[in-house]
Amino acid sequence: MNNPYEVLGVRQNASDEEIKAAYRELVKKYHPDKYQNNPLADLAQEKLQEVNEAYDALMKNGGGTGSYSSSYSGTAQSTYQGQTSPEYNDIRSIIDSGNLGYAEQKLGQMRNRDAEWFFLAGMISYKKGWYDDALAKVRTAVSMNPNNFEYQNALNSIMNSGRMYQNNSFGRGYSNDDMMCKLCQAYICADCLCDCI
Amino acid sequence: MLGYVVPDKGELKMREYEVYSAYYCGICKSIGRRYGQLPRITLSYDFVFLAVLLAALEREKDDIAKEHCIIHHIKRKPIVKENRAIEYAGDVMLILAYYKLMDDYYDDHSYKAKLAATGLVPTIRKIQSHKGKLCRLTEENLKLLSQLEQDKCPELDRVEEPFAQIMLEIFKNGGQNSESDESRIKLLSHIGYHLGKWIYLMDAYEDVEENIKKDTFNPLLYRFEYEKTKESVQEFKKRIKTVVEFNLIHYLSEIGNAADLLDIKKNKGIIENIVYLGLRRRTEQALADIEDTETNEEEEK
Repeated sequence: MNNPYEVLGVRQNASDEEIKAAYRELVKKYHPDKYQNNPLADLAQEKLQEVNEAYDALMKNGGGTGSYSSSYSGTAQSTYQGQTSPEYNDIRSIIDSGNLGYAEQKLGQMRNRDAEWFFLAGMISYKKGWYDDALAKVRTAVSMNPNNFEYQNALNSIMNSGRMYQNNSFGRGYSNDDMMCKLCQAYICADCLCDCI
Repeated sequence: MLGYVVPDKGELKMREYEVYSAYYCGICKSIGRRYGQLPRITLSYDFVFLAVLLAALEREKDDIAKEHCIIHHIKRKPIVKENRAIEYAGDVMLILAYYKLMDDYYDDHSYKAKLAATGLVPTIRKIQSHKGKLCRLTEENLKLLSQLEQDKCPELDRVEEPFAQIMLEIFKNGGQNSESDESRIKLLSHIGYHLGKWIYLMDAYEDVEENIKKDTFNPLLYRFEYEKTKESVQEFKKRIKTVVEFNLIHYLSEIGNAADLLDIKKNKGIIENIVYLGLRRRTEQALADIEDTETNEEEEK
């Protein structure tokens, strides 16, 4: 295992409070919610695991509370509802395995284009990085079957995906403030002049 | 497609700004040394990010020296000594510049583009000898893009794909060395792909007016069914803004997600600044343009 202090990014004899704070930040960074339906989900999971182990190792010495892992380390992915046809279940497992091209091909062969069809087509698009396309398809699925919780959830998660990024950038000092922007621009202009000399 | 990938300068630390500039100068010097003075005109800030990012995955410390340069010949500037990342960033910048120029020539018969491209031919020959695959891939994907543009493809994602694939390959190949593992390649590919999509969409959105005026292709006009008789350019841009913003921020969020997972060994502040502040600032600038031009018009009245 890597040095737990390094993993958490704290100094050798950091206090429990410091360790907890650093740990909380990292959990936020690698949180499964951030990587929902994302091809990077497994890598984020690995990182979270590493952070959890480091935290557990350090807290054992200090006798702290258990880490975050227990509730999340399980695979939260296979929450599909079991009402679909065997054909769709088949395609779902192909999507899960990551073979998007094959899943797309199988879906293309189906004649009956119902809500589930549009939902799965949307999820394939999403995983490919075709978000504009994905949104349209998942929206169609929701409008065809407004009572399906899974479709609605997926739609919400797609719609909210950018929020995490925006919060993150505000957390790092991003400012929309007009006054600030003007100051910045003035600073950059003045700076350009200095650079010329 | 120039000048999109930049840091939010006001939020950089002075030290970070110096390092960032030293990378820019390093790329310029490296091109000058290897290919002569002319190719230096293609220099842009976009690929400084690539150089900083690729170098940040390596253990070696930045080797920065103060040197003279042609433009700043009196003051000595800090310059990062040539390393693999800097050479690579310089090469791909030239590849993209050259094939883009050739593309402009084929599409719009721009002789200015042809002239500039001809000037770059000896350089490209040299680069082709060691980066043939990347050159071919760039050329093929730009051809694919021209075809989609000719066909007036209304699917945003489909039109964005060729350029996204070029950027994916650029980032992916840049990270391949003896130390690289599967996850690093996956993360760099993810960043490149989404950065390519972001650049293409930014470019499309900022070019809407010009494309309407000159009656040239812009995927947004077809994706959102622009009709000249029904709405003004400003009304159109306003109508599509939310969806464009949704997509742009989504791309940035994926770049952030991937960058968060990379094992970055140095210059983390610069990379995070570009990813979380610079790209966002640039996005909001592009989106804010509508209101600005409107208020200006009102003031004029």
